[in-house]
Amino acid sequence: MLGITRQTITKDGKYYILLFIALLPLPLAGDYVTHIAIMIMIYSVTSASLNILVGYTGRLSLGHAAFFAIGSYTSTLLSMNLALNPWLGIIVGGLLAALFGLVLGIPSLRLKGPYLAISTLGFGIIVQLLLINLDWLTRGPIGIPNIPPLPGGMIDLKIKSNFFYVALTVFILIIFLLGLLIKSRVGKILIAIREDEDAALSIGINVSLFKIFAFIVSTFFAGVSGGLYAHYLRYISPAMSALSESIHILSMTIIGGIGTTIGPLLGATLITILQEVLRPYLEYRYLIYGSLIIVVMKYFPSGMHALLQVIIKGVRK
Amino acid sequence: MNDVSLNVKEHDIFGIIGPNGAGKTTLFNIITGFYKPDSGRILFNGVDITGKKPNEIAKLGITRTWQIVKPFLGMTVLDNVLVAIYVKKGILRGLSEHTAIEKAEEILEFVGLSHRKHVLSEALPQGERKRLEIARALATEPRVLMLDEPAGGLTNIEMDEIIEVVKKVRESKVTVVLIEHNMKVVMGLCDRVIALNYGKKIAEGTPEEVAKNEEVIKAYLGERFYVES
Repeated sequence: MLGITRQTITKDGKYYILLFIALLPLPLAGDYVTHIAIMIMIYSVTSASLNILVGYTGRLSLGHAAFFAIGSYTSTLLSMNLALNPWLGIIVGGLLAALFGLVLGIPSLRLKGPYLAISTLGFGIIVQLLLINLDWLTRGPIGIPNIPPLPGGMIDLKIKSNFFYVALTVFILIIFLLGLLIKSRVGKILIAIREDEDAALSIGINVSLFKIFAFIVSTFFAGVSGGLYAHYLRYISPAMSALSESIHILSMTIIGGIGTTIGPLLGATLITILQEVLRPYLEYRYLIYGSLIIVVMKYFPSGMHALLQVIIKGVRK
Repeated sequence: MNDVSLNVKEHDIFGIIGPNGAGKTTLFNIITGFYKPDSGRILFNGVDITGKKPNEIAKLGITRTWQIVKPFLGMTVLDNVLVAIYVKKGILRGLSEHTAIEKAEEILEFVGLSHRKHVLSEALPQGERKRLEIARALATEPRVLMLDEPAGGLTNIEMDEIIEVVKKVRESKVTVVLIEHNMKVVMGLCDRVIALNYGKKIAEGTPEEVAKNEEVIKAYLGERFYVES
């Protein structure tokens, strides 16, 4: 179906299973490393979701954190106020984020380049202001603490090493699915639209429909990763929708390698580790991200992914 | 564009000529839905297609190529054609992947690009890019293929290759409408030709008739250089 052959699934699947197995013993390295790994995996999903938009349909979004925040607030509020199972809450959070994605996607069909970027920027600010000012619902700027953890039956998912395996499974599954989507017929059509919109129209591609589809998929997974984040850290605040957060996610995607499957994972890993290393110099972090983005755009337009390929080729020789 | 009417017969090769800025590409853009006409109608097999979207017009069977070629650069030659096949045959169900690839290879063979199928299209020289665009357009199984300067900017050898491809397209019962500056191409291929100047039709007929037409020669060379012969 969708032009994905069984060979692709088994071939790709093998790599993801290998990655899964390789990461299994990680919690042995202690709680701190486990925590960083969980954050990397959550942000990998967010960054990969943004990559659908930026990397495969060529649309710059400066408001992706808003969808992350919508996912996390939805899941949090549903679990706290209506006692909804957080697992279900995460899915509902993704769906609501996707609904907003659709609402933002339709008007932004007419916008290109910087104009689209500005509209997504505006969206992020609106969401942040709503989260701050709808305090009867969101508890305003102080945020929401004590969010219920994911229920794990017999297993206590408040323990980091246990949550790690949940995050790992979800992460591998989503990355695998997004990878397949890109290799599918739909993925090829998205790439065609990115490469040349007019040419895509001229061979009968309903460009608007696919762009909206990309918006929906992208924002859905941003919402899901937001939900995962909320039930892991168990504290959320309106700052999650800030422009700086969107740029944080965008840096991961760009530095890792836009339009590549593993780029977002590399980017999320680098940026998350950098953030830890640079913790004493937190106020300079965007200075460093900014410089990194400039260097990457200038010398490695396809990011760390390209760098990795060069290294692999070198090793093989 | 003003007051241009043209009738293209099925299975003809129909040429549009005219000096730069005459409105040839504009006419293409109007027919294929990229521009909307202020007035007038476009009929395709008796059905009014005026004001339809470009992708809808492509689905109906009119597919175009571009004066400045627009291949999907980051994709392989094969994928360029495959995408068009997916769109034509359906994404969810449609052809099996195996059949789709076979069909794409067949089309690449037709335009003489099968040896390049796994190359990224950005690596192709101009002549091959033009043929790739024709291949991609053919993959949509058009009834009318609209070529915007298929021989523009090509070497003589590349031009001969394109001419051969266009002849084969006609043999496969696809109507061709082409814009061309090169008279060798126009004379060698077209059954009928119209000439445009300043958005108006100034001549219509067989290539020979149009080439001898006073207005056409004036349009190309200017009033001063037209000498009564």
